[in-house]
Amino acid sequence: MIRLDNVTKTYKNSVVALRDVSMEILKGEFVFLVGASGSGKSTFIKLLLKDEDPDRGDIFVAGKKLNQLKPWRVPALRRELGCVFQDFKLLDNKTVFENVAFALEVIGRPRNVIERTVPEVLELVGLGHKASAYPYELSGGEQQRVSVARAFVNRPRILLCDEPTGNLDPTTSVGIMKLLDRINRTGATVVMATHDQHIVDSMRRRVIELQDGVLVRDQDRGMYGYGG
Amino acid sequence: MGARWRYMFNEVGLGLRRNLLMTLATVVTVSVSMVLLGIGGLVWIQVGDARDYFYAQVEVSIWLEDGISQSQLTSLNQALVDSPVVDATGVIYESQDEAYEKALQLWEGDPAMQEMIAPEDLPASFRVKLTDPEQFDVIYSQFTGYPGVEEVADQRDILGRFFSVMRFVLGATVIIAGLALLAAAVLIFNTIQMTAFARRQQTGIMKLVGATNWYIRLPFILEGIVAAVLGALVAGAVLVALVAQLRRAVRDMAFIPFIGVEEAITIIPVLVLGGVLLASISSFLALRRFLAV
Repeated sequence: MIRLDNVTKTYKNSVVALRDVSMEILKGEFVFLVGASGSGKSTFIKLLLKDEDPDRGDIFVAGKKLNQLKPWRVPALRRELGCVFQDFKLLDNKTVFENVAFALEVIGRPRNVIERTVPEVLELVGLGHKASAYPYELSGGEQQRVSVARAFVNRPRILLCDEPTGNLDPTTSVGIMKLLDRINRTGATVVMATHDQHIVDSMRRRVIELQDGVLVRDQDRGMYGYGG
Repeated sequence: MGARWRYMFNEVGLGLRRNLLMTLATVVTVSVSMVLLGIGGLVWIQVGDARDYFYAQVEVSIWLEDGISQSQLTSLNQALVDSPVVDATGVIYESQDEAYEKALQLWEGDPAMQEMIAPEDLPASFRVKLTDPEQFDVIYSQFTGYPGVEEVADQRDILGRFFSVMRFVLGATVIIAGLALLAAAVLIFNTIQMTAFARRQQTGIMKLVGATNWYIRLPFILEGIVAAVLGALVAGAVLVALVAQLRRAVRDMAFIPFIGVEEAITIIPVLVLGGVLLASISSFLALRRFLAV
């Protein structure tokens, strides 16, 4: 589903974000991407989104070789990816329903599809009763659920999460993790960058660790630190 | 109407209302520049029309000496008809008596003037039509000093001054219109970039969920186009009103062909098209860097 072959990414200020990283993530996997701030986790996610391009190496996502992807093909790639961020990225002037519907509207989905699938996905994230609320009327955990709903409403094959629990308290974070786990069980591949040790340790999923842009560990059923 | 288009129209309407003042400024600037451009265009049409008209009318007058003999007259007439630049059917001799008749007609309402002129005051002349009005110099050099010729006069001299004034007006309006258009383009550029910046969160999400580039850009570009088209329409209305006013003012000079309201109306689509082009180019440039994938 995702493969990196000897990928190196250096930013303009000559900071090396990723150094010769090779790895593969299979369909339906749940993978934690761990490492300190600045270890290259966000760059990893940006490369998969083709928000950035690597200096060297090949990246394959959902059967597409990103290096050769024409700019006008990028939207099609992103429709196969769902994204969840630490800061939710919700639109304040739209209701919960509208925020989720927005993701479908702007890729031209017909109204009847939107009216059927948005309530479904809101039900899935447990916010069916808050469809007409505005983001500022919700708690952080609820806002992140909306963000997950928006990422998942188009049934992407891959869900990319960049520190989704970074702004949430531990109890709320557990709720979000349960949600991501449920989405993973529907067959979606989930890649989650995090440095939340408790979450990684309690889920016991595959862990990939980056250190200064180098892949230092790839472990099934791993812990946040060594010795799991 | 699909969700796709509803979104588009909502966005355009929202953007225009949110930036009401900037939209107004854009509309006004575009109309001012378009009015100037329109005036330039109309002056150009007017100059062309008038030129054709006058040149078709204008003749070269060859004033004759009072004591011209019959043989000199015959030879002059023959030389004129034989000249390659003269329209042979357009050589007309006007005797002193005929000139007197014409003068009497001209001063019909003014008996005092009629009293003052006598047939012998007026010179006889040949009125000559040229095959090409530009060829006056040929006639001039050929017949100046010809036996019996007093003077070769080109009536275009008067028109020449008129046309150079018109050309100046034309040049000035085009230059001012160009500057105003530049201002309009910069204003549209700036407005679009501000709008895009204000909505960067929304466009960022659109990119993430896989909206196409054009789908993201189109509302911004349409916003600029709507403002520019409104400006062009206002300019069109102003031009039609101006021309109507001009027609009333020159009613008494009906013998000169003046541009009419029809010309002003036919110029409107050109202005609208120009507005669309202006807005598309400047908003496209404004978005090029900002909204790249």
